[in-house]
Amino acid sequence: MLCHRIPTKLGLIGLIFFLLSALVLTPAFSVPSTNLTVQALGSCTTDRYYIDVNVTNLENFDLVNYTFNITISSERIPAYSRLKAGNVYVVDENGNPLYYWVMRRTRKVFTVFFRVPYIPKDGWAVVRIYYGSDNPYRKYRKPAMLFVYFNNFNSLENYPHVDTGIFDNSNPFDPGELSISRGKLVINSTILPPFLFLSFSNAKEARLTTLTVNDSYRIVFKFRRVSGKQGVDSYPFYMFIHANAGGNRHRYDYIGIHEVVDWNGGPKFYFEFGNDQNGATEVNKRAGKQYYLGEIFVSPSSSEGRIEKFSSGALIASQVFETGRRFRNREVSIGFGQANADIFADVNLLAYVDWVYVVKSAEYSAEIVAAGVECLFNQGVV
Amino acid sequence: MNRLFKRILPLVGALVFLMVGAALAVPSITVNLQKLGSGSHSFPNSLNVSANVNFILSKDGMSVTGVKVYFTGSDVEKGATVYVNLLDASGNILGSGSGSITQDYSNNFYVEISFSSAVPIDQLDSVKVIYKGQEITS
Repeated sequence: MLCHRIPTKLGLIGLIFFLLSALVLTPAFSVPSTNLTVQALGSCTTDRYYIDVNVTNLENFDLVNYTFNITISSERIPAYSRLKAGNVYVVDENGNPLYYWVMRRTRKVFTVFFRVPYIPKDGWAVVRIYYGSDNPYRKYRKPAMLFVYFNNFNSLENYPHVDTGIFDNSNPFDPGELSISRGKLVINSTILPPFLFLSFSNAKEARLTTLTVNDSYRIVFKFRRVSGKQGVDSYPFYMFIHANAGGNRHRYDYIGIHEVVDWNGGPKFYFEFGNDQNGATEVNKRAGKQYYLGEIFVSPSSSEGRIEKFSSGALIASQVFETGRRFRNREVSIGFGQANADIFADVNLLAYVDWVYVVKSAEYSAEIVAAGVECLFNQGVV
Repeated sequence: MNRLFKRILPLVGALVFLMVGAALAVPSITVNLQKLGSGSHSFPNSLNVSANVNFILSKDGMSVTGVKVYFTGSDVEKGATVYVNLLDASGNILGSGSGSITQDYSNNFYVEISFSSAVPIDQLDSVKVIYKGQEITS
């Protein structure tokens, strides 16, 4: 009996000792109850801007590998100061890069060309123009993939003579009269007056390339006159298309700058449209020394011309040259020239051409459908 | 019972004596205590969030009247608060607003914010988006 009671008593004592110890020690070792509240917090600033453009096919056939462009006023482009020609690129709806070329980025206007692989008849495609950040698709800046012909005059080539018949006499440019300077073609010629009574005008002309008019094309020159007043009836620059119609017959359209000697008010420079059938039409718009875009649209059925200011995209003049299928399936020369149309004095003419492109033309509309900016938050927490 | 009490009385007395003695023998010590605990949630020092700020343009396309911001990334959560500031080139705020992220029928996370006055596009230089997640208590 005693043997059983002693352990029971000892256990009871131990229990009391444990309870008392726990009572004393537990508060000392207990962790305070803490409520922690956290919030994800981050900020991002502009990464890359974008403009979504809807290109609608207005032809009655599928457009396969056509080149399109859109011109946007700078007032409609968010953060335009961040848009540089070098940070622009174009992707399709799935983010795949498209071949592109930034034709201009001036204070007032932005124009970009891009090639879309396929737009079905009665269909459309949305492309996204990115800008304002790094450009991962610089190698897609390939004008050669966009145009039938493109020349930005990185090097001087052989530009053969072509007699267009626009002026009475036509000669090739003399050696040294054509040169390349800072990525532009410099046309700098001296042209003597024609022999009195034998002819009334002398020209120097050259061909850049040829084109068969089996489709619709737009031929565009970026040019400007540099020479000032000669006081002589002359043409410091003109661009043309020309076809030989057999024998000595010429077919041509041209857009030029014409120095007109007005004896009342002195010489003035005007734009002029001309073709072999309807003669010359002088436009009552002065031609300054700034850059212009001259465009000749030619198709199997017709041709027309237009001139716009390069810096603003403002239309200066346009004119239908002909609608008589005069170039249908013909091979035309695309070129430029300078001319002296005065019989009394020689002229020293100077003009620049920055680039020339020929693009296959299609009817389409291109309009902005959205604009925005992307940014990433993974650059640190505020 | 009486016998048992008598037997353990010395032991209880010894224990009480021990405790009292120990209490009396403890020197005066100043103890500084600090509450210490830890929660179970943490965030990395970067957020896996991307924002796609779509400008809501006026009819003439010359100004921004609001933004619709779409969010992607593993850290995006419904109900988070988003602040959007449109800034000019000098960092001045041209327009600002805030809203809570919600989800559309396609489960895209977005927030739509209208500005009190339209912001001319030609003054807009950059956009700042601030993301504040919901409070999580642990």
